[in-house]
Amino acid sequence: MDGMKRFTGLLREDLKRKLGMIAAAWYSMGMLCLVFSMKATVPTGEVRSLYVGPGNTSFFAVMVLFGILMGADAFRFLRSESETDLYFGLPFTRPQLFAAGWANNLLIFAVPFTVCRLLFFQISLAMGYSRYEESILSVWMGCLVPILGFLFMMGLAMLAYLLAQNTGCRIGLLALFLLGPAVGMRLVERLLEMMAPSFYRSEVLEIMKEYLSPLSLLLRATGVQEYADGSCWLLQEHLSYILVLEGAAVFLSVMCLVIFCIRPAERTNRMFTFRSAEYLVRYVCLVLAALWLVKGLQVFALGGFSTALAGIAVLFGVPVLHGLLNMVLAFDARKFVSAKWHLLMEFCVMLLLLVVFSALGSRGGRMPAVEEIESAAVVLPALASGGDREQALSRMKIEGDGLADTYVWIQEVCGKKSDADDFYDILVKYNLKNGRTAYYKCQLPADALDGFDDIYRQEAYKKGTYDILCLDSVKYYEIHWTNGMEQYTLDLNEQERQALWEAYCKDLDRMTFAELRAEAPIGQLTFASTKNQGDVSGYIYPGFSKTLAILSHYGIHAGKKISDYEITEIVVARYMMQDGLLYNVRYLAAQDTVREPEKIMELSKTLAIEEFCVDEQLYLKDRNTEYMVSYRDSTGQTVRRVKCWKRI
Amino acid sequence: MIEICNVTKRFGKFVCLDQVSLEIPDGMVYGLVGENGAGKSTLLRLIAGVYRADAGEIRIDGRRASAVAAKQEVFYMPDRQYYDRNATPLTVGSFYRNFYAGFSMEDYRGLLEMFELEENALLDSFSKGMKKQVFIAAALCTNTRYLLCDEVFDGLDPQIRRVVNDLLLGAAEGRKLTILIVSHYLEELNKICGHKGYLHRGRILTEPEWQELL
Repeated sequence: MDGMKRFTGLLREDLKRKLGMIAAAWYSMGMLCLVFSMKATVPTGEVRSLYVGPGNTSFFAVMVLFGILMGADAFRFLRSESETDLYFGLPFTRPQLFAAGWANNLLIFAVPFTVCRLLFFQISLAMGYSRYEESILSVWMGCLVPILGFLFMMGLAMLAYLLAQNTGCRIGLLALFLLGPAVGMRLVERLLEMMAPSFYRSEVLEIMKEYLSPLSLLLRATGVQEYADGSCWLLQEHLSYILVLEGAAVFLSVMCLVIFCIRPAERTNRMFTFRSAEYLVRYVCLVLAALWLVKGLQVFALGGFSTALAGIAVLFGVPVLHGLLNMVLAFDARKFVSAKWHLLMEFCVMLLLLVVFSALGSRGGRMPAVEEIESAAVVLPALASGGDREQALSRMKIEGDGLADTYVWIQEVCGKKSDADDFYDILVKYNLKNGRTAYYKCQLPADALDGFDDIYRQEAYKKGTYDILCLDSVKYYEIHWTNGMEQYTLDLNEQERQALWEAYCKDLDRMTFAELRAEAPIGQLTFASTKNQGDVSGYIYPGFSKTLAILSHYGIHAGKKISDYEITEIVVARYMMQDGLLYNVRYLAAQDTVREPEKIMELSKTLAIEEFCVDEQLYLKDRNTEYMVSYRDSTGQTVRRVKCWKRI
Repeated sequence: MIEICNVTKRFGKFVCLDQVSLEIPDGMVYGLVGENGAGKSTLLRLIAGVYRADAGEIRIDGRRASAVAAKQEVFYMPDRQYYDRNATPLTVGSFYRNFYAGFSMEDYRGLLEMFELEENALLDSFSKGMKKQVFIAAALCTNTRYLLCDEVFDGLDPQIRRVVNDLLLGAAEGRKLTILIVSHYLEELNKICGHKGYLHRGRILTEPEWQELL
């Protein structure tokens, strides 16, 4: 009989066995297609075409679910001896049997997925939800990327199925494949943070986190996270992830084929098909659990790293984890004390790992020489009004004389011995001339904080820190103003908006660090995008004369303080802190209501709106007292309340 | 010809077959006897290409047992046959027709009729012996040159056993079908097998060695 005819027969018989899965695939994808074709589920705006792209969360969930289910179900005949006898006894080689199961699974998923997505696209075109030209790439990528993702997930599930011998073990192994890399790298990061106080982040680790963690890779290749944020799906932003995903899918498929071919058909009483797989799982689980224990026990070191605690974790943790793993792997409680050679090896592996971490930690603490640096970025996380720190680090480029001054200042203050009670973290990123990047975290004593003004005044620092300074154009924005007690949307044309923005930028550029610490913001300007490109906001300080003048010109008294409003009462709540071993407990100790006009006037002059006190760590304030101010709004009809803090 | 050369098969530390060698010429009906756990079924699975030998080699017509060309000439009938929950004798026939070029649906239907089996009834509704008959019919109709039967008489009544004996012998004589039967039914094997082997502790004994052991 012709080989192709026989193989077609095998495909047909395999498909018959998977009729349930075929029905489930068509039903679920058909339903998703119908659900997304309904107007109610598609929001208005420019991002509607994203629903047909790879970033669709529902289609992503279907891809993951079917990948796992079909991977686990691909070789059902391995479950029982009689089925194995039947299929392995048929005139096919093992690669042929594998190819039939693999190809059928791909067909079962890819055909309904592609058909339903294209149908959904046609419906969305017909109903005017999408435009053909701007969506067609998204649509094709929306078919291709999830199919690659499906193959990747199926490969992982297949691998777990082929390597383990029972359902519980297979589920555990799949969980290890999916979560293990991310957990491992997170632990590595945490340990490096503990062992090297100057460690902030490592580019290599960040790349590994993105590409080696299966879920992270899938999320980034499809762009589900960005989709949730509403930004547009761009191929160039996802291409590297898609290529890695493709490579991983191919690699997993080949690996599954090899394992399927060499895997013995007979069942054993072990948890894993191969000894090597058992050893791998044993050591990976032990290392992850022991590192977690090392990290967990450091909580008693109160912020530092204690070698003694790490030693205790290894000395007591490794034997206990070894015993537990013995029990799980043999499914026998009596095996707790066994495999003594492994115990010895596990001790060695753990000690080796801690030595490696220690070496990496000390290496990570070495700062490059100033000649090696091309540009620098500095972030003071306590300056929360500066926005996202990661964005600031990637955007800021301090160069030239500013770089030399910054470098010298950081060298001076970092690790400087001080009697100060408070310390502030400083994050530093050096872009080196050799193309590499170095990150550091320094501890800045509170008494040296004034010296930060030299960095704060630099244009490059402010441009990197404040999003509002980076706006290219205010054409597609509308401006909202608020002082926490009232708010307005300004009806301005583009020139007026531009003038207000430029005035604000000048004010912000002139502001010093000392002014920022001395005065709390008195208002906020928000530039809200009308094109779903994200809103940008900035605080208004009392010294922002140009901004206040323009706002005043438009009838907004932005300089109005709390004490200028008609305050009916102020509720003062005092809290007490009780120190615990690990956590401090905060409880309400007393509550007063101030109603006398003189006292209200006196108190209100010292209050600041809590909503605007985002830089609270940078100035002194009474942290244990909260003030709830009740005031009449400008109409005088409504009493509103606002939460305030008192600055010392 | 089936050639088994120094085949060893281990399950963990247990040596199931220890350097077993055997030659079964074409057209021979060979019976393999042995106590429980002697490795009879394992030997059949090795010949059928289901298991892989840890050492040694199995060749069918000079080809490796796991090669497709060799497997096309072998039909393996295990002790417990797998079938789909909704399978009927007819779907079993259709299943094997996909994979064996020589499968004759006409002969298969004829045998089902001879065994008085309803071809559209669910296999699940059949007794153990009736299911066996379905698979014996399928095995004979694939028209392969080698037939490996594990406990083929198990569950069959004496009358059907005689019919099966006749069918197997007829096929062996008529179209030179080589049959390897593994069974506990020594009397049945004596009736149809030209040669017999005795598996004991992983080795094949000769008849005098076996008698001595008994």
